[in-house]
Amino acid sequence: MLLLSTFDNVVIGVFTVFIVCIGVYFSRAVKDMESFYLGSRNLPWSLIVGALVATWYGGVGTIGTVEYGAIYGLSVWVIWCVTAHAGRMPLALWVGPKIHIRTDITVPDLLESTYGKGVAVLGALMMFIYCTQVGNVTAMGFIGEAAWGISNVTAGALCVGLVVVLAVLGGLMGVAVTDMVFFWAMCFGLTMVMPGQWADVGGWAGLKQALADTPKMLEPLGGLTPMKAFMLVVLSFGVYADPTFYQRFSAADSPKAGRRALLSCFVIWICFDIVLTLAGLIVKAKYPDMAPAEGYIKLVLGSLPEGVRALFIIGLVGGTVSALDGYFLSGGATLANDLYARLKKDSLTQKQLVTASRVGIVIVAVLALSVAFQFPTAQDAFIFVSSLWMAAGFVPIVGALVWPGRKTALGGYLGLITGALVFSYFKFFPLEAFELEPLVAALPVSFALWVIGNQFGKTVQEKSEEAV
Amino acid sequence: MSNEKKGLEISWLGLDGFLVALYFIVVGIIYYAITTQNDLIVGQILPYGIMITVSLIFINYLSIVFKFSKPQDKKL
Repeated sequence: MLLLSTFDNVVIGVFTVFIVCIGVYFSRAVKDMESFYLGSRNLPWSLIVGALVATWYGGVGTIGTVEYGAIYGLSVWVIWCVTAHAGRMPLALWVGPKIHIRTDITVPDLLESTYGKGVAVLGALMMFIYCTQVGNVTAMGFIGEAAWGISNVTAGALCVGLVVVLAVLGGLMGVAVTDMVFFWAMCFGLTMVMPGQWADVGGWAGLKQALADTPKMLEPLGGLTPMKAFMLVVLSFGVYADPTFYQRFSAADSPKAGRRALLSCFVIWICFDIVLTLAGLIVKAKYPDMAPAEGYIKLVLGSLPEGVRALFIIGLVGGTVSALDGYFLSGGATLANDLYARLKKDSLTQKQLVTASRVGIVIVAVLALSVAFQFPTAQDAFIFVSSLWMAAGFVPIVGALVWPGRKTALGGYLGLITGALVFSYFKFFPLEAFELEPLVAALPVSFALWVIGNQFGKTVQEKSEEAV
Repeated sequence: MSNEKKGLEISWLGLDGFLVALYFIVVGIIYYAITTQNDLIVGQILPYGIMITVSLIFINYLSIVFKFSKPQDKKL
């Protein structure tokens, strides 16, 4: 049964045309790489809030939180969400403002200025894979199947096509403005259903009764296993190595605006998180045998009036589109600025860089679409790609920003390579004796070898002094 | 003091400190609502609070757009 009426689809179609027009409008403002990738470093507080919330949440953040809420219960919010945002406070307070005043445009720029060109190229390659954000394409597939009854590949292809148009045309300014619209649609659209659903399920009493067989789901510290909880908390620190965060912070009109925007995001996120976690519990109570993502969409669409359903779908799809356009933009810039321009002997003009970034966006999109449906759930796809990048990039990137001691190329190489290798080894050859998350094993090894490697060789500064 | 250093300074008694404190206050309220199983907070106050907050931020942004209409060299 199709859950959306013709009127709903017309509203969604008109909204899509409006969003594409925004991209076309802002394409006129793109003059060079800084205006394309950083919006000329002119984004105000409200736009940074909207772009951060929409990009970081995405389809995985919304559908994924509902899925985890339905599987693990309230402990998802108490253990994972609260710790994750609290652990990101130093990012807003100290790390982010430092990024803003640096002249580096991208994460590999930072790696090059700290460890040298080789580490920057290797880091760019790994970051490029991360920017495919396959989890969001997987999530879009589930949304398409449940809402329109189309195949997950068709839904993913349509979504990726829209994302490419937005990112290629408008650059960061186009992406940020559309993100702002999606931010409102996502937060408003997904939250507006909560009061009705909560009353419908019978509040806490109704949930307690429906979930009587699994009482741990309503316990603040039950549900999640200790190792799973630890892994999720560790993974949440991945934003310290997230390229879109660096881009947004660099694009703020001042370090203060960036800091306050991120601090505001924490308050919005923690409220939004509990709404989605509770939505997951309601889905579990109402459709215990259905896949949570599918159950969520059916639950909401089945209870909303015509037209309002369209706003919910716009919010849900908008979250996915806004996450993908931010990451595809970073992926395109990585390919052009950090790989192509670094490996090419002649320097590129600003116009060539922007063109190469646009081609890069298309390549990221094709790559994402080709692997997205190899994963069983959106959260699985997200966790695999994010963990791999975090295992490799976290130590060298955060070390470059906050570690005052010496840093050399060997330290950078060892941090990146050992992190990725240890993660891959434990992912494909898990220990059978006890439960060990690959990321939890990879980070300490990456850190230890990064520290050791930094004791050998010359720093970038020493090398440049020698060259002079 | 240079503008660069001023930008890095955290105003603990100003907006920065308020936003940090607000996060922990909100967490405390939600945790209270969970442990006491309060229907009003999770079923009404929180959802409507989010809807109002995000709408205000969106309106704030729209007001900036109306003030600065040129995308090339002004804030958007």
